[in-house]
Amino acid sequence: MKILASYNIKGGVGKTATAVNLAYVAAAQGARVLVVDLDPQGAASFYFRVKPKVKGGGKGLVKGKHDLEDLVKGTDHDRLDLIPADFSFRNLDLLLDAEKKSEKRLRKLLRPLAADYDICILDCPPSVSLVSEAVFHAADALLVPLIPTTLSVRTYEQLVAFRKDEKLKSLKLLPFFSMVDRRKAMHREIVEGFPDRHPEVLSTQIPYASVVERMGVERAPLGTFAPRTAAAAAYETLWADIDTRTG
Amino acid sequence: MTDEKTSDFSGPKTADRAGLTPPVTVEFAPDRPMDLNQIADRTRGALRHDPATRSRKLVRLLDTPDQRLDRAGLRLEVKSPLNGARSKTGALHLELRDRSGQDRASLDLPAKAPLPRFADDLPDGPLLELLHPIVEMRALLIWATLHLEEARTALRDRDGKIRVRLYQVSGETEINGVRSPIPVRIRVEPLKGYATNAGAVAERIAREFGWVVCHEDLMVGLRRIGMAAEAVPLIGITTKPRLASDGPLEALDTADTEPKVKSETPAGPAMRTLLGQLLETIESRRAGVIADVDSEFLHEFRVAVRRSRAAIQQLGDTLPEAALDRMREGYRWLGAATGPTRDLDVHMLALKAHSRSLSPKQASALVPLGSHLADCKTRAHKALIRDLKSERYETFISRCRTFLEAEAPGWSETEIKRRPISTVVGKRVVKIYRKTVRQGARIGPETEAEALHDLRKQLKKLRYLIEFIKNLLPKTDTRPLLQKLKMLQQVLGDVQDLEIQTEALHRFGREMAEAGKADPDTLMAIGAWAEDLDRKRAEARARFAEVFAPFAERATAQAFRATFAPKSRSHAPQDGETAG
Repeated sequence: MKILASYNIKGGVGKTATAVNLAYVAAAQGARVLVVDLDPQGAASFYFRVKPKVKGGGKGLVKGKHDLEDLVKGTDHDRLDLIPADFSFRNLDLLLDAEKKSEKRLRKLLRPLAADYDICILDCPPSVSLVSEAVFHAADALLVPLIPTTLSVRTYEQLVAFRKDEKLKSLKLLPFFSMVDRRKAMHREIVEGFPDRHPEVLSTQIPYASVVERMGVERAPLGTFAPRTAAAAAYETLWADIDTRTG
Repeated sequence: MTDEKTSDFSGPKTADRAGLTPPVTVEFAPDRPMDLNQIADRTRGALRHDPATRSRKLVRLLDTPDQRLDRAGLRLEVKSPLNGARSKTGALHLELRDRSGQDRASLDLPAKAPLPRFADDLPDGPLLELLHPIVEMRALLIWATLHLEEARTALRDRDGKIRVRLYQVSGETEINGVRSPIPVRIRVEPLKGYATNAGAVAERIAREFGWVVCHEDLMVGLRRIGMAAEAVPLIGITTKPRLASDGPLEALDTADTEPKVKSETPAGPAMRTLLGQLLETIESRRAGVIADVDSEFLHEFRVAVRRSRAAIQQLGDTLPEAALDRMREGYRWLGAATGPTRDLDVHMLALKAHSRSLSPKQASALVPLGSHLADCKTRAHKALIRDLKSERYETFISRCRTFLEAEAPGWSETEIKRRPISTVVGKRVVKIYRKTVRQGARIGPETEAEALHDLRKQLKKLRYLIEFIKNLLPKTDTRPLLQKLKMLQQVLGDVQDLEIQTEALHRFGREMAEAGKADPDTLMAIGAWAEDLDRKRAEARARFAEVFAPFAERATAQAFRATFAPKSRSHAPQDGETAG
């Protein structure tokens, strides 16, 4: 099972839209996909119309009181399942802090699901915390959506530095530009200049599009209600890029 | 949001009592089709349902000729919509499902894509990864076609989330041209995490309509239909469909040749039975060889020929001499006639495996080699078809059959023909084992390859002899001995096969260069591959001593004697020396 995490220190960059749409594309192409909604706001759960409620809450999850398999909900889409968020996930940091080897906890919890899924996508809350450290140890790669702004690029550089400090060499960083508005000069400049410093950036860009915002109204991935839009096509190409880069 | 368990139904306990245990899909077998909207309306509880939609589907079920997927508890379905509806990204939808109906992997193929003939034909992805280790080199053939009428609806909660899916399926199966109706089924499919809802709906269906739960797996039912119609799937090859309840199959090449004799059966009659079974294997693989379904038909054909030759050579004195010469000659001819095509099959399989390990650019340089091999194979196969359809073949098989099926009065003429098969074969096993140990002990790092090849031949004879009687002996005794033998055979097989393959590659390169069929990139790729094979051959050669030692050690010799010739007074080697 390949574990990918949609992550950025910064909020509002399109992490959940990335997790939900890539999961949908991968499942539509035949992979068995699990999305884990680690964000207490539960946006991924909302998009999939699943109640943000987990048996035993965050405590049960961290302590491993329930098999993770028992928490899985089938979405309306073939081969695509979800472990929903729970409001108690806001305390995951504290709960992890009470555990030994907390950074390895998430990987251990996910291990039993490896036979049932080809791909697991973690939708992470913003910030650097014990939760994100656990995500870094669990994931094979971080998918990092970046809005082409100075602040967003700066947070990516913080992430690169953190990965180096924490000696997380095996963790791949796969940044890509999200919500790109080609009409804005600054967006164009940053998108063009970024690969010189960060050749690891994926070539696919997700355009700024109101149809992505409609996901909240439709409560479904783009592929179900706007399959022929540029944004839906961009997520398909992005998935092909990620699939190639993560083997 | 209202969870349905708060409505008029009490959830899993009630469902369990009715035997409608979620989360498994539950099916009902009503006596006639009904409007699915009506069924949904009367059983939805607090959920609401989408208007039912109808579609016609053509589902083709694929499996290998030896039903590897069925034996692995899997089924491969290829679905094509018939009413113009398309799947999301293509027209052909492939699904690999387990017996519980769970989707294990799937794939959409473009509208005009041909059905995959081999697992190798599939693009990279989960389906290929799951299928390839099971199917290997075997062909995927259509064994049944389903013409389905499907109505479907979804039951949703207040948030519009699907909790349960309802289907009504009916139609016809077509197995080897025989059409049979598929009884109507109502399927209640739970979504993970919402089994309570599915259980409640299933129970309401049982209560409202009085239908009984249908427990038979659809595929088991289909195979039963196939058996009842005496339909033999897969181009008339005598590989009969099996019920899942028949239990696992042995690998075909041994299952077909397990002697239907008892330990105490006299050697003469037992040999007749054994050779008769091998003859059946040869005959049953013939159509597949001629049609070139996949390389395994020819491989199994040749294994049966070799086993027959080994049996005649080793145990010929249990049979009347007059018939033996004719059989020896016939089997020798069949061995030679099938050799060139088999060699090319081996080269082509090796090329496929090698290409998978290369980058697309490197693999593309070897495409002309693939074409050259395919041309050579076509020519060799044509010659083989001529032989297999010749009068000589028919006469040979017919004479063998007449001889083997004859009620011969002279079976107990001599003592050896009266002695039990297990005793006769067992003694030969021990004798050949000792011979191979002596041969192997003479092999050092510098010994010529010829000596290893000779040893390999003897080991094959030993293996065939053991397999003739292994089912008459306790598995716990034979298995460890066979394991050691197989390891040794594997290494010797690698040494010889890789050597032959390397030489053949050089030859193919020369042929292609002379015919102007290869550019420098192709010739370099062939050269690089040949070097790689030669390196692997050297590695295999270096492993000989390591795998020979456990085969030749004293404990193994004692085990061989104790298992195959328990009353033998043969001398076992002393500590520190080999059995030879």
